[in-house]
Amino acid sequence: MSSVAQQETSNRAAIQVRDLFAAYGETVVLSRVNLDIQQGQLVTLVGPNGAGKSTLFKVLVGILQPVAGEVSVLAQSPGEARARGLIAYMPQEEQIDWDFPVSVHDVVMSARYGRMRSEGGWRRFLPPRLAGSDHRRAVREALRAVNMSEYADRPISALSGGQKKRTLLARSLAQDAAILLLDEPLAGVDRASEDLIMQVLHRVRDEGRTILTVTHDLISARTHADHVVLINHTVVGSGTRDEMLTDEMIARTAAARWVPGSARRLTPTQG
Amino acid sequence: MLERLYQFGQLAVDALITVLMLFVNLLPETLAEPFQYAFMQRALLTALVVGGICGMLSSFVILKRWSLLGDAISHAVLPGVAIAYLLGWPFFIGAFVTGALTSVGIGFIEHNTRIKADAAMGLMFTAAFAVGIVIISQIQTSTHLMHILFGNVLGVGPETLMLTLVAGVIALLAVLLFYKELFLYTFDSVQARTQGLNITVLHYGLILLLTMTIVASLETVGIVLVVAMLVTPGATAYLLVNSLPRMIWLGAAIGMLSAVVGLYLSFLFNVASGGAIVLVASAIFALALVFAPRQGLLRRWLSRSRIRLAD
Repeated sequence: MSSVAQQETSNRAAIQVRDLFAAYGETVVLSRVNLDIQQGQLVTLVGPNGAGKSTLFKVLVGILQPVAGEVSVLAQSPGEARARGLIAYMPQEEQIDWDFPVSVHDVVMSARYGRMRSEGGWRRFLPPRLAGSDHRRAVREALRAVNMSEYADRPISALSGGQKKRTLLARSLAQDAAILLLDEPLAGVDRASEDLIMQVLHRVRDEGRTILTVTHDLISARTHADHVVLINHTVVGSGTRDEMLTDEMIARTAAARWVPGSARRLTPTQG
Repeated sequence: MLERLYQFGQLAVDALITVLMLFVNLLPETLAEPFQYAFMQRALLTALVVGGICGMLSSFVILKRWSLLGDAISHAVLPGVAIAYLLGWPFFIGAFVTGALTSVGIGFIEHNTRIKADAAMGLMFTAAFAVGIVIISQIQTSTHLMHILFGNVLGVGPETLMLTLVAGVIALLAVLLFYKELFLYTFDSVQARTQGLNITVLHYGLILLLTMTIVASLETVGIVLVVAMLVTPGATAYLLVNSLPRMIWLGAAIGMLSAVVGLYLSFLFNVASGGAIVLVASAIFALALVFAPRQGLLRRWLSRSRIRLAD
């Protein structure tokens, strides 16, 4: 895609963050974060463990209230965007109970529950088994996209690592969200699954959706991202991957433990 | 108005018992015989409803790992029952209030201190239970209070039966109409959040549902054993099936079966109904533990020896 065409398709901000501070109790994890992410991009947040990448996701997803600052998602508050189903989130596998009695198909279908709940009248209360054809189609297409159609009826407890990842990705796809937040989408998967996942992500981006991924793995960031945001408690840099993933920028990211201008102590924490 | 409601409730109870007796009379005479008494008919209907709702909700208790919370709420209703007894109020009002207050207190400690959920539950429910014990020790021995501690389904009156039915209808409607919300909250609450659901409302809604079920079950199985009915049927179903809707309905069926068989055994051998019901539920669990098609010990042992043989 030429840079002119890119500008035309991505002239609206997907995510805007202004002077964001986020903390767990007394420990400040994100300090004065400013970020602009355009629509239709595949953006990777890169930073060491504990840099606050997942914390930023938690703020966007709404499970952590920021201490200060403003976040807008497609020119709406994150709460409104969530209520409209505009944000899909793919957690890391550890956050899911894989012994839960549910099939692959039903996990993916659960991404449609938000939309089913906003249907009019009594349809709102229908069990998922009686979901409308549009929901069924979305689930079928998502499963096909990640090559999991033949495992649709399998209980999730019987999946391999790569299949688990693909199931969670299918769930994010089925939500039809404008923005996909993916936490370490390539961690722990084999080469074949990695290629498949990247293919899917590129296609989703080409549909005009925005993808934000998180990684501490420089190699995958180097090969896969359009746009890289270096983060270590604050945004160290933001630009194309060639601009950002230089030795100098990476060294600067690693050194950015303490940020002048923040009054609070900054300690590396889990996040 | 209240009079009308009561009459309507009476009518509904009579209709349900008539239908129930149609089935009971199909049984061999020796089995059906005890159910000719009105108190046994009331006990049967109460046991079915209590077993059904406890069994239904036990799937959520198991999957949310809320066994200790169930135990906490059931113990926390004791001071409410005792205070209501002193004031001459219906026991379920007091039970509901102290049960709900305790679960809010647990949430408060958990979210505002570094104390984790299990310790918060342990200290809150024992404190509440202690208040109950202290009050009860001041009351002249009361058989009614003993029934609430240990359960006596044979002594259930028409009012309690009506109340249990109302709780049953509410719980059934909640699970049927809000299945999607309950699934999202139980399976992945972050996912529920990203789809715009209010987690706090869901959390306390499910706790209230649990508290209501516990209060409705008090006279049948008693405070001390009610948690068994909120854990054992769901745990049994968890070993047997692999989808949440099936687990919910199988749990409900196991709860009802245990309650009815336990009731019958309690009448036959003149033992405490709560104990009998829980023992039946535990026996069904033991059977599932050994013979379950995928998770069972027998199957595991067989496949292990097959692998060893193949070596």
